[in-house]
Amino acid sequence: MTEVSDWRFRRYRYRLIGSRCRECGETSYPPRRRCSRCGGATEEYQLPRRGRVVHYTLLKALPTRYNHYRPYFLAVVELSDGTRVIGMLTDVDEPSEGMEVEATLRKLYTYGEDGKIIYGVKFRPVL
Amino acid sequence: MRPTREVGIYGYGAYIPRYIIENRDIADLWGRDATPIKSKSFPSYDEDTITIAYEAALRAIESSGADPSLIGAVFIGSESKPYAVKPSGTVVAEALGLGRNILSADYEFACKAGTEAMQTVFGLVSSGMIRMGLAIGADTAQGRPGDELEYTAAAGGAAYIISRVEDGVLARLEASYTYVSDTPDFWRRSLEEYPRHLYRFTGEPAYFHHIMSSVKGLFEEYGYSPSDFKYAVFHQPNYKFPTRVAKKLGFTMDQIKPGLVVALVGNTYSGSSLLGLAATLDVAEPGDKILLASFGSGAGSDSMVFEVTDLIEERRMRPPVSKLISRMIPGDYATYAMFRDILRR
Repeated sequence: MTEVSDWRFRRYRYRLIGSRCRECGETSYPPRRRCSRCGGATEEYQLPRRGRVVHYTLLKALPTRYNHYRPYFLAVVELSDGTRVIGMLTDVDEPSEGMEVEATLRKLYTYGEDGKIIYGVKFRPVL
Repeated sequence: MRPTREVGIYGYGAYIPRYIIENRDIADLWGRDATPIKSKSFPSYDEDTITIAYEAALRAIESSGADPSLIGAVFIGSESKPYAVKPSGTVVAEALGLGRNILSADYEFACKAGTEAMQTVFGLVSSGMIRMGLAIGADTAQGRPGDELEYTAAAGGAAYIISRVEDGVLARLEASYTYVSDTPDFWRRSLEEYPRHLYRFTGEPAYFHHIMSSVKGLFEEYGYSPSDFKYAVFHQPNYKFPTRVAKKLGFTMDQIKPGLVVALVGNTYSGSSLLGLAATLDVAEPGDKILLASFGSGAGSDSMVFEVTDLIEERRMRPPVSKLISRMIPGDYATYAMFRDILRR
């Protein structure tokens, strides 16, 4: 990613906008042009903000731009409509399977001291 | 000041980061006895004014059920802008899914920038230029290690959706008043990391003079007295100042208590008085009158009078400020230093 290509994806990063298949209704995040199940055409789809942690892992070895944020938990979150997404957890000391979480906006990384700050969706425990 | 067409608060939301540091921990480190408050909030490593403003605004929209497409302005008051040049409001607007035809700018007036944003939106909504607008006060305030401000400079914010009264408001604006002067009690020069202040000078000639002048001016011009109000909220840089100014103006502890969150949360700067107003709206009943008086160094104060309507019951913020506070967990000085980027690896 560069500072420009990061910008092109901001819609999806900021707001959990995924895709839904026009044929079979399969949803995915990040969005896909073609359905992963039936190959049908897709449309943009606003995913729900709430879900629960299905699986998680602790990441310690990361690209340098994440240095300030390591280690962090990466989780598979099942959203309330059943869509499964992979996302970073925040404000969590020890996650658990089934933990109720909601999507929020947080800093993902920055391009150095004078570069852009990249924001995006992370999941935190429901307030 | 009274707008031509009546305006008020359609919805409100607040946010405080999850971490607090005990004042005792800071005092022990620097060998000091007395502390101004009990604890203060601090942002997580991935939070800043933009993410706090987003959280508060999202809660305002979700709790009130406001139609985002009707929002025509996003003004964020802050003295800890993530970018020196680049508006915070455009990130927040885009993340909230608002339209592209919005007015947006970052406001700076030390701790008064949040109410300054509200005054601007009152005018825009009243004039009919926009239907609804978001006024946000949010900060991740900076305190130099070892300085007095380190005990209180906290993180948090609140957001207010302003609309015309006819669109349905939870609190109607009755009147506002403002009082400013060139009083340099606290400042931060361009490119400097931490602000400076003139110690006790921040009291009488700054905080007390400006809040007293703005509240007394409001009372004289519109004929109010302290007994007209169920609640009052004053800017909260510490516990002593708002309780003393309340007493001087003739308010009781019962009137200011619901909005006095500084002892546990700290001074959230541009978010401070707005966070106090949110905590007060959490418990207010229809018909209650609320006085809000901000203070910003440099210096000035905005006073506003709101009357709560029947819509408060269905539009209260979920969860309330008390829940945001009760979920907070203590972090030690090392965590604080790391998250605040004082300590780097």
